[in-house]
Amino acid sequence: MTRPIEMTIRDIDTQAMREWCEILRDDNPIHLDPAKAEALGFGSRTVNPGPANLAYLLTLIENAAPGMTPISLEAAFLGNVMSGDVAVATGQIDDGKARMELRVTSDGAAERTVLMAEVRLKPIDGTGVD
Amino acid sequence: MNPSRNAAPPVAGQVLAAGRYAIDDAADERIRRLAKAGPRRGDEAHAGFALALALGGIGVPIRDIFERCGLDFDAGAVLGSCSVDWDRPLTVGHDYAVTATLASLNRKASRRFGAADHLILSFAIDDEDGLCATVRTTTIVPVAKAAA
Repeated sequence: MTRPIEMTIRDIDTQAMREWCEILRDDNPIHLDPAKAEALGFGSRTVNPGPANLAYLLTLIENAAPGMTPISLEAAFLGNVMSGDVAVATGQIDDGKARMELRVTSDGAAERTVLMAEVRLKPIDGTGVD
Repeated sequence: MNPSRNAAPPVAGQVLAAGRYAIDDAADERIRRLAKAGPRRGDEAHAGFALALALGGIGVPIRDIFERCGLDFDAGAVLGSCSVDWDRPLTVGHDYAVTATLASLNRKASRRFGAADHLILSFAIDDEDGLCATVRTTTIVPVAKAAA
């Protein structure tokens, strides 16, 4: 059975990006310095680390399918989430497979998809579901 | 690509770094807060730890890996894609060994940058019973026009 799922992430800010960078040991200036992000063509705001964007999608799965655990994941990062953006994670779970995407809106611009992912799941205490 | 003069450039299959990462309650709660997740059920850590361990658990900052491969980490490196295979869930209260291996490094034409280096790294996450997860990342690093 297909189950649509959705979650909105509103408080994507520079402090959260700094914490992700600490955890990831990633001092890429596009995540930390708006001036350097702008000089590199990313616009005037810092860029959310890709693993943070993927973590939102994994939270969506955890919320929607609490009895399941991921066994494999494929993700394509198509664009960036910037500080101050609102992100919407959506997807559907069907027969042990979650197909999800993360979309963002910012500054009144058109919504755009920045991340697509497919995750295979299995019951936490069982075998794989195909 | 511009490896340092004193070090041979790494080759595919070469281990680039290794370290350890312990997932404790505080670490899981922090990731959950940042990932907008609710409280943990049971002992399974947030699934986002796969990437956190891969990048944060190799014993050196990820910048060092790029520099060792002759890449300019400050040029606007971005994650292009990734995959994760979990043999077992990552759990709170466990200490993991993390190993980063070079899978490939290739220069490709880029519509946006003219040229970009594609660095593919493979990360193995093990505990005392063996492999728990494998993470593979592709990072795209713009190449300065003079170096292309």
